[in-house]
Amino acid sequence: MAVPMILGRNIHSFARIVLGASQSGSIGLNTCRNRGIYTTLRPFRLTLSACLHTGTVVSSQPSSTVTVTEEPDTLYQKVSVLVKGHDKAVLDSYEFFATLTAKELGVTLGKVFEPPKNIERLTLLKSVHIFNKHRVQYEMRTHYRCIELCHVTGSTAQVYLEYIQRNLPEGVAMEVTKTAMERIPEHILKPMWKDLPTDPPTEEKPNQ
Amino acid sequence: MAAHTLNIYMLSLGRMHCHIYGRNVHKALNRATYATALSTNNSSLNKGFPDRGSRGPIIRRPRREEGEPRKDKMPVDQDWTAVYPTAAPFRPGSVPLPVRMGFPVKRGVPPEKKGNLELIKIPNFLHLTPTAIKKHCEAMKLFCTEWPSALDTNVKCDEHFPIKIECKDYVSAGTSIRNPSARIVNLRVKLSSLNLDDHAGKKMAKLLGERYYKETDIITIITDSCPVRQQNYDYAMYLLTVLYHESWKTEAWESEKTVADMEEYSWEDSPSQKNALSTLVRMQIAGEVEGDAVRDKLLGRPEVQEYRESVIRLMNEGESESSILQYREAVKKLLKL
Repeated sequence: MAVPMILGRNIHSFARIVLGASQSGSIGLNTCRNRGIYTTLRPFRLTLSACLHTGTVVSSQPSSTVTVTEEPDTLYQKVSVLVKGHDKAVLDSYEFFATLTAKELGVTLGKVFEPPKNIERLTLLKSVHIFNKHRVQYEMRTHYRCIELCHVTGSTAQVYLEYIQRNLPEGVAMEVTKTAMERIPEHILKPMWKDLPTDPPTEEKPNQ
Repeated sequence: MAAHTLNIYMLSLGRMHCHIYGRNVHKALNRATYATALSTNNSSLNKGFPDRGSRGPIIRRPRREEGEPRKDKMPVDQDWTAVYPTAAPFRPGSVPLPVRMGFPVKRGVPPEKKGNLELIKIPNFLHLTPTAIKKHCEAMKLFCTEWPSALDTNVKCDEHFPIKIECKDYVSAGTSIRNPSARIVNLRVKLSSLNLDDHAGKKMAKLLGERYYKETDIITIITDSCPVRQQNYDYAMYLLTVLYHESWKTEAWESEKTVADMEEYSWEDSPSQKNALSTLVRMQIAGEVEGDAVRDKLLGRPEVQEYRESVIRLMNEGESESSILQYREAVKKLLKL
């Protein structure tokens, strides 16, 4: 069965679209009465905060910013997102956000689990000089959360990961493990010695 | 303070002097000390502000009154994405919830949200309510592509796409956004999915050494010698290509492969075969002629084949209950016990 080629999509002005979408729903409907929302296609010059202060409306219809390229999309068998933080409540909220995003974008979720926390403890001297019997103990707790996605295409993974990473809270780190699937390259399909009958075995040229 | 004490000393000095020199001098001296004291006091009394010279006084606009907090003017069916469109610190006047946070005082409750530093310190997700997330996803759906429906199981994926490339990306806050561990590339392929014949497969396994795990038949190549991930990926593919083509070649010295180099045990030309055949020949020595024909006949017998299989199984798979029992049965049949 021939596997259909998946064409890649470029993310062109991604942030623009996201901010524009959140704006059009909120400001456009409430304050824009004199101008048509969908008729004017203005370039998105102002930043979001400037718009909020001045109260101007920017109509944000993405004017054909999706480009379809000819190169085939990479296929990820598994994308594993591990987030690390010091506060478990923050990671709980982030997990809810990530899982809801995956559901909305139509990405199949694998396991969502919590690896055990890691506590690093230090026992240091309390005083600058002498007083060895008086120490102070510190500990650093690192909580983890792992969200696994299965069967994601390259474009979808790019979109999802960029969105997730832009909304990563302060003090939280992330590690993404992507397992891409590939076909066997053409030069490994059959040995090249069969095509060259007269070549002695000592003379070889590795193919790249 | 120093000027004040200095003035006192000067005054006392003046009085002491007038005792010696007479009254007129006393008045003059006193006036002198008082005059200096007054002048310094005047210059330092500039309403507490530093001297700006020709620039003039600092213009401070009067502080305007703060209006009603936003939460009191919020309708119930408002659009929350307008209040918190992006990540922003917690504003007690914009959040209509009666949140309390912090360590409570004795026999009290946690402090209220107004002026609460604890609520500002922790990251909040007020800009990421389910409504906001859905709006964002609606906009982002344009850029997503669907997974091909033909590849729904892992088995089919492995069949069509046997090579697995694993890379890691790291996101963290710090002085640098780079992480040197991000350049490592992990390539995994099943040996059986490559086009290799028997000899090539064994040679490939020998060349790979530790990188080939026999139980799962997976080749793992981890490259981290180059500074860029793309370079490491190219190097891994190059290694795979070279291994593949080299394993198809047969070098001259490969004919010197000894029994110790063999990966699997083979019964032909082994001491076990010789011993079994000699035993059988001696059993049937009465009335039979020795020769190659006898040996082939003996080898062709089913008991000998059974014995052969049981010995091979013992040597290759190791000792287990079933394999030892099988060997026992084979020996009994062979020696007609």
